Amino acid sequence: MHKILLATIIFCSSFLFVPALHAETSTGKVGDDNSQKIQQELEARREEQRQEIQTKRIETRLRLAKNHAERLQKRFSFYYERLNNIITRFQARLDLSKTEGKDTTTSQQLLDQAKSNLLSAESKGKEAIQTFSSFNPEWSQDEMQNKVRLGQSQAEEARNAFKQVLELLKSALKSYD
Amino acid sequence: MDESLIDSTAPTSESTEIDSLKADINNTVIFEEDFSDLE
Repeated sequence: MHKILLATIIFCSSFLFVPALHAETSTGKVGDDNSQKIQQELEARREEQRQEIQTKRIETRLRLAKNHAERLQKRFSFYYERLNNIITRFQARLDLSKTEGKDTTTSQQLLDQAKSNLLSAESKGKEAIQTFSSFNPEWSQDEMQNKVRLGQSQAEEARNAFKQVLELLKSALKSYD
Repeated sequence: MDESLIDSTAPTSESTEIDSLKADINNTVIFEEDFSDLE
């Protein structure tokens, strides 16, 4: 009788424990799901922040490139106008001196060279300005870096050409004295 | 003399003109360009 009673108690207890065990397992699964969801949300947020930083970086570079283009435009135009004005005045003086019988051959040669170099400097300057004006947000990091180097090299060439014009004018004036 | 009759572009004396050209050449500065902010 006792054995039957004991067996009945064990049998009934199993119905009490199984749901509890099942509930415990379910809670674990829900916990895992939540943790995964949080991880995904964090990753999405990080990706969003990475994109925002990248967009800001590109915007900054575009703004800086535009500033460089504007500065070069102002400077190179100023150099061109100033040097062209000096060339024009010096040519007028040489023409006058020629009519007075003065030998201006060397000065004229140097001045002609200065005129030619000034056109070259202007052209190189325009190339550099064009490069910095054409920055595109769709470019990759490498493409943008290559364009920076190109624009920098073009601007340096233009600058050297303007400096050469200045030196030629100094020589032309010296040979006139 | 009416100042409006003075032609500012009229030829000046040779030495004045040459001195003026020298001064303009010597006062022309070709600036360095700095692109380090784009590096």
